[in-house]
Amino acid sequence: MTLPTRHTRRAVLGAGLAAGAALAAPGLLRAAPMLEALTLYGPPAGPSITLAHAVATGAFETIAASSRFVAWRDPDELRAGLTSGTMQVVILPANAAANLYNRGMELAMVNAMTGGLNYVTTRDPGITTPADLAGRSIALPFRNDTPDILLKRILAEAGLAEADVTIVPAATPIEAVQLLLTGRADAAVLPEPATTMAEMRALQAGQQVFRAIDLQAEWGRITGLGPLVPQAGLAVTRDFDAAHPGAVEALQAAIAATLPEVLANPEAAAASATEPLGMPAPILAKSIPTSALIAEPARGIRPAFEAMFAAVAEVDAAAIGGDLPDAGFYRL
Amino acid sequence: MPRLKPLALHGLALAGLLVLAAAIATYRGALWPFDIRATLLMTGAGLATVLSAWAPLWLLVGGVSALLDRPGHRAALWLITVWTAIVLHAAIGPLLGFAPLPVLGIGGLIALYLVPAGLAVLTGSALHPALPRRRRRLFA
Repeated sequence: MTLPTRHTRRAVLGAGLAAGAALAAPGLLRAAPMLEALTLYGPPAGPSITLAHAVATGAFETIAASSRFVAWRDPDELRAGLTSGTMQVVILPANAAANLYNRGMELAMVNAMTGGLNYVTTRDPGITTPADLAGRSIALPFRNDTPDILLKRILAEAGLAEADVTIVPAATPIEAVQLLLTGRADAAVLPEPATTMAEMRALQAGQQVFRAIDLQAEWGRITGLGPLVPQAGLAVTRDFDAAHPGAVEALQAAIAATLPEVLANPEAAAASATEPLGMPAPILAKSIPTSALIAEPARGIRPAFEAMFAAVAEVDAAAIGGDLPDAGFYRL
Repeated sequence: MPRLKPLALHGLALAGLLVLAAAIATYRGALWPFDIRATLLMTGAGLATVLSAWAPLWLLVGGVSALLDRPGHRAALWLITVWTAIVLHAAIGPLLGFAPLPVLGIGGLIALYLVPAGLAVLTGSALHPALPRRRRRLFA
């Protein structure tokens, strides 16, 4: 028996409509993005790699119809962007965020994007502990910033006074690398990706440099909180948060989902980040494994934030705006 | 016009040496994904360090190369210079801040000194026509 097949106009039209609806269903079922456009900001440093890669891979598609990452180049640009309201979603140093929050700026910390990325790097294999730095010269960029303060605390813990080492000030991490490689300093306190750059340059010149001391690990020993120095993280302004309910949670989820991809495939992440960060891809790629990239919600690691803020406040309370930020600072 | 040909040849050889240096730097440093900025930065930094650290050797080699007349002799000088640099590196390299021989290996040292030695020989060769004819024939 054969069934009669009749291609009437009505049957063809109905089938067409059904097929169209079936094809469009995922799009119709998908919620409309919360924002038309999303611009994320961050420093030209390791923690921004995750954001840049998330943008490149479309991780924010459910949040915004279009997204982009823009690097801020100096603290003045950051401050101006936050004050004017141009920067609403931004990675910044946790100390700066606490300072701005305590001074009344309406922002909140969403997460920590790094667990600390500072190392004491040296050309002398004999230096392996903080005590070995006695009598040595140390190139140090960013005096009185977090790495400087951590170093002082770590040296004090090893029984060394500030006078027991010679600090060689450097204007930038790159200058500190130069001081180290030319032998004008025995060691250098370097963040990533400057540490990686020092290793790569040394290799090309037939030299050797060693990551002698992991400041995070030493700090973890002092605080008992583990090797975690949440130096930088994502913050949002209250205006952004209030205008887009649920966006902060969705941002955090997208970043947390992107992080494993970054760690598993540093070359791809570096390729995504090289243009917006303005840094060579091979250096970014090689620095990812040692940048302690994380996406930890801020509230969950509040003790680690506070331990770092307290250490900073002991030296210069004004650096965090006078006091530890209250619970309102920790958004998630 | 006849003077342009040697000039062009030296320019070509210089370009070849610099490309070789960039290729060695990219390969040794595993500079992936390829980025010309990283390659240039690493190549420049490596060459600058090696050239300045062993400057007396390169000056001597450049001087000898300027006195030679035949390309074959200069090729031999290039090889001899590379091996001289390796021997010097093994003897006093660590005192000058270089990694010891066992760390770099012979292959690493050849890669390190091949281009600087070539540049020294090439510079001497480029200066050769400027020497007085009597001195030019000293090693001919």
